[in-house]
Amino acid sequence: MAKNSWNDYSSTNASNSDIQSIDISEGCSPSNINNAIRELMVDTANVVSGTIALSSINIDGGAIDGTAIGANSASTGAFTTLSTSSNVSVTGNITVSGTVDGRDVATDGSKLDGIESGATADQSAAEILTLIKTVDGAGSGLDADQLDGLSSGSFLRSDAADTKTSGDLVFSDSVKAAFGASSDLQIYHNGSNSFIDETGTGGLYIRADNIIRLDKFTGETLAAFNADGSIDLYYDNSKKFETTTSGISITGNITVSGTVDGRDVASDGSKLDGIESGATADQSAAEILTAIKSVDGAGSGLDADTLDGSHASSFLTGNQTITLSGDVTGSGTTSISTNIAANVVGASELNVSGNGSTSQFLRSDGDGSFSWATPTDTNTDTTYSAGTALTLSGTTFSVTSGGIGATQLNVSGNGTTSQFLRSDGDGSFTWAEAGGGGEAAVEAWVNFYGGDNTLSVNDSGGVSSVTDNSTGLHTVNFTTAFSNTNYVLAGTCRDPNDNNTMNMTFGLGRSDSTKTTSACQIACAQQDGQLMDSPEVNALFFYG
Amino acid sequence: MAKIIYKNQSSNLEGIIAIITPTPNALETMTIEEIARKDVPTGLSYKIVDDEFIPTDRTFRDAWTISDAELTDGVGD
Repeated sequence: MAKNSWNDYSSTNASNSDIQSIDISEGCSPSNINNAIRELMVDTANVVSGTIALSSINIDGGAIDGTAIGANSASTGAFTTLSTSSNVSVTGNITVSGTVDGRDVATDGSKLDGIESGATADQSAAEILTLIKTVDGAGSGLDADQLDGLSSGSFLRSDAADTKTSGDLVFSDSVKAAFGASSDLQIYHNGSNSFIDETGTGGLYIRADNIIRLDKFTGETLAAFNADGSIDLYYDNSKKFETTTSGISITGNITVSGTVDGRDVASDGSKLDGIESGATADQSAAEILTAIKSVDGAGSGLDADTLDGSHASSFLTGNQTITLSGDVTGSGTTSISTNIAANVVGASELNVSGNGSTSQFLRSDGDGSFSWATPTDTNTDTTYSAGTALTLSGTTFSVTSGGIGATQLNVSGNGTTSQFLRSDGDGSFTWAEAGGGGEAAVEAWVNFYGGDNTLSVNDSGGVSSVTDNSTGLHTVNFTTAFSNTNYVLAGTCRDPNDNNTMNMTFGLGRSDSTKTTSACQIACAQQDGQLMDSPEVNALFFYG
Repeated sequence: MAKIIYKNQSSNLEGIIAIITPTPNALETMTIEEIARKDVPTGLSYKIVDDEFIPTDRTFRDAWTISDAELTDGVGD
């Protein structure tokens, strides 16, 4: 490697074999030595003049401009002015009692402590606006000085009393000024007409202390409502209607399509037109009669309601249907040559020849005529018969054998409960007690199946039901209660096995509750007293 | 044919179910409700049931039971 400057020189002498490519190795020519010395002097001059940069130089002593450096003060240096044309690298802190580039670095640094990392000072207004718009709006607390270039005094407050100081408040077509929580009152113009609408709760009150006027926009009056005074209505600015203390005052005519006080004034007026002036309404009946009599009579056209107190319907007319409500009397021959309508003549109006006799009745003869007939015959020699069983001959009433049942036999009196009709042996009957002669009647009876299945009643009389109480124990309920409990029970029970004898007894013992006037408990038992269901139970209840 | 059931309250039969069978003759002039009110002992509650409701096996006849809550059709007069 050629040694072209101090920086190329080696600290190993054997390696320094040339200077500026001039060979100085062993055995070189003497001129090389001379030339090499000259080049070495040039290199040294270049170091002094600073044209050759020295590197890795350790100055370990001495002073620079009088400031000691080196081993005596290894890390301390004080310079009046320290200047460098390149970078300065410092390991450790720098303490500056003055400024750096004219700035008090410590003071500026304190300010920088409050600036976030990454903060920039070159944001444009647009960038700042974009950032603000991310946090502005309701609740942001941003209190601007103006809104759209207007200060707060240019806006009406909605949440406080406020006054509009200039300019009109204009609502576009169909935009409403609404009042009330439910927009009850609305004022607006829909492009064609203007409206005041009240659609919510309550009515629309227009109130004034003095007067309320409805005017044409030019100033003409349409209507005026005066407080404590009249209400005036106008036609073309001319008052036509006015309310007064005593009523109303009208200027001009009144046209009524209905009535006034229930009267059709126009119709009444037309009638009044026909009344002569001076006419009076106080004429007496006698005066009116006198006047009428001067023009009545045939040809007068006077159509009276009655004639001598009778309506026209009371008189016969020659060519109409005749309706009569009173008697028709006549002398001589009276004939009717036409038919009398159905239901027109009742029995009382039909006059049959002759008067008949007392108790006779008018009987149809079957040929369209009527005659008087006698309903009963008191003659003793007349015989009447009814069917084939009954005959009445004179005063004797006869019934043929088998011709009359018990229900047709009329016996004096109704008898009493439990009595029966008894023949007296002489052709007559009388009511008698059932037991009066020692007889007793079966008042109730029942035949039922009470075996090993569901109980069923085969037939009965005077018994409304049978109660299954337990095995072999039943209660017979009577349709009609006995007068007392002295009735007699008789009955049989069929043994289910057909090989034993069964008994029927009153209930389970001597308890009176098992035998009452309305029911009787019966028991079916084998000879050993064991109760048993029976396939056929027959019970009779006698009463005298 | 319907039947009427109630619980017997008499001393020897207390708690045993009683079954009333109306007679055909009575049913010609009375309703089963009228018969029930007349023939069920006074004050006892009853129920009107179909024949099928009554068991046919009478081996344990006296052990038949019914809840009082089911006797809801009326009370004997």
